[in-house]
Amino acid sequence: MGDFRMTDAKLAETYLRLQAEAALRRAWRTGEPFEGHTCIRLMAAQAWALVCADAIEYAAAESVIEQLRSALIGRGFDTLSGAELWSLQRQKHWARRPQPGPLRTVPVGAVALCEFGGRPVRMFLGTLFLAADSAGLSVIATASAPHPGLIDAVEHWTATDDRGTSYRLGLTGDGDNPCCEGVLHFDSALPVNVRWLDVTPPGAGPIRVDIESAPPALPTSAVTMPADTVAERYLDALAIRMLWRICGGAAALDEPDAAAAVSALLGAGVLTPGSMALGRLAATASRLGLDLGLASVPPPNMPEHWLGMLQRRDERDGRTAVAQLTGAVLPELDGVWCVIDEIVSKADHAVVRIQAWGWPIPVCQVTPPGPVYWTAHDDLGGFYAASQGGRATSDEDTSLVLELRPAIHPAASDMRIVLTGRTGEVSVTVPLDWQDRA
Amino acid sequence: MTSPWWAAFGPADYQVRCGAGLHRLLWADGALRPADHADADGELVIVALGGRATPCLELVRVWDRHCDDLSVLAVGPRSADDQLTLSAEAIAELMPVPTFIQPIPVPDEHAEVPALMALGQPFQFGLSGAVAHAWSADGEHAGGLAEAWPTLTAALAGRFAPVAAQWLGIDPDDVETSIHPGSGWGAIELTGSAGGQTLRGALPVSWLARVWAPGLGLVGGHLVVSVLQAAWPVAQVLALDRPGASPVELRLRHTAGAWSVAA
Repeated sequence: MGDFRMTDAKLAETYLRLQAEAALRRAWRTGEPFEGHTCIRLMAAQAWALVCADAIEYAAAESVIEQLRSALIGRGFDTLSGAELWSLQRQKHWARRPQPGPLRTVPVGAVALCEFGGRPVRMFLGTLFLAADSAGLSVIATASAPHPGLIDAVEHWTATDDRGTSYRLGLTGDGDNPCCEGVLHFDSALPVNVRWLDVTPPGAGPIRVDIESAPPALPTSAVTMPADTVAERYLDALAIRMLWRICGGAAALDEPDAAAAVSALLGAGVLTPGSMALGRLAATASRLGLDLGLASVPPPNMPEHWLGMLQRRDERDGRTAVAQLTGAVLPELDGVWCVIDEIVSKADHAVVRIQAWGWPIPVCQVTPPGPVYWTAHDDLGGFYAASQGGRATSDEDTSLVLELRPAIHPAASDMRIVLTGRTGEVSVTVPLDWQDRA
Repeated sequence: MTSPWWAAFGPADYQVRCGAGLHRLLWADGALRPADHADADGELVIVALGGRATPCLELVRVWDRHCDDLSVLAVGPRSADDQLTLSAEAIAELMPVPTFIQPIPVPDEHAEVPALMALGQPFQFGLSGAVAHAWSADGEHAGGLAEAWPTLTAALAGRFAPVAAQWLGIDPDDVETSIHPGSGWGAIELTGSAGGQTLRGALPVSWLARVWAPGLGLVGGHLVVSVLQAAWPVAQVLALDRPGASPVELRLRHTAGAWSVAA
């Protein structure tokens, strides 16, 4: 058989399987009280951390957890039910989605006032997307008051291009009354050199979308990050999740899960105790009084912008207003395209609505979060963390809703919204031109 | 190693309701056979051509399908003290979890290993031995050792640690196990001082099939590291009386349900 070297992935999987083996031994051998649920949950947290750090494949992690679950059940221990485990896996499985390929975007920024069910509805047309085989137009419909069937108001649009070709537009979208958002999909792709479109909402006149002389898109940036820093980004995602929670975010960060995740990254050799991100996480946990088992890690100081965020954590001075955006298109990252449609500012937080193409499912992140996370910086130096929710609205596109905390500083005039992923970081800087919602 | 991997196993049988009567399934010489079907091979051919399998034949077919299935080692027993309690409810619960790719579980395939485990401990150890042998240096999947390394390392660790812990009176968590991929029986080393000792064992995958599975791991205070010759109920083995010692040859005999050093 001779000498051979294991790949890093095999070494990490070996570590995970040995952890599972030790857990199972504690179950059948010691006779001490043993909770199968907790065992599976903590092992899943370890497995997920290694997946997020690109240390092992998802299928390998799933196999370890499935087999441990089977072994526990075979020994009469309660564990997560199949449905519970499925739910856990569902949340953690980032399935690939169809990717739109090169996407051309055209800022629109038009408003149509329509009437639906006898009530006025304001339609904001954000950005036109032109792909090789599809086209879509982001739309946000806002009624002055909760409106049953509001989403129906956005249906049944038509369009005609400069050559006289007609299109029907169908909506995929989501939203909560009195606001819904989505994408109006054209029933066929637009010709490459189409110059303009007349888009007609139901019960209103046409809106001219000038494709050739559209305003420029908003400034963006894209930074590629080394593949061997994915684990560091995962730890930063954990720390930022904690900061978001301490600023009033409602989702839980289960400390034992987070501690298990960190121990897996250290135990499998994916991280070393000298990792800067580990130090940042330790400092954040210490500052927030959370026990992640990192007492022995010498923490560096928390980054200044994280500290600044904490100083504003209790502020309730956010405007009650909305900034609707056009051409706020993030550069492609990991096969995903995102277009930011609007920012809704509230007293203690803000909501950012985004349309995404190729976004992996599931949409919702759980704790510990994955390696993909959102943050923002305002022009005053303020830092914001976001949780992410939303749902897939079609095979290709996804409506994302970010909850940004703390409150957006009332004096901020623009904001750089940053998406960090496996391979890098992309951002777009958007103006905060606040308007009343109604 | 001239004896086949199953040479130190005693026979085991199980009664299964088949048609109108109770039939015997016999595990011997490394294979499961339906003892009460005169032309089992012929019946299996008919089943392979689409005929309906009797319960006896279906269990044989399932057994044969999983003789190299690593999940057997993940689910199966770690020692004789590690009792699996596979009720019908537990087997049902072990049905696969639906996934995005396969939202509706396919029941039979995933319940097969638990169903085989429900045949009882002799069969659990026999099947575990068969799987370990398949991935050993003289097994059909020897070339796949690198791919299966994590699973086999855990399988070895989970079974060697209890044996070694009992041998030395230490905590199994203080046993570090690795696969010995080369020739020879491997290495056993005790490091540290009293109160902080770690036993490091490097053993080939074949240790699982030839030593652990037939219950030879610890006999008469000796840690068995290799089987030289076997013809149940007798086995000639290499064993250690303490870590770091040279292995000695021992002749063992299986009597009254356990192995002991023969006079």
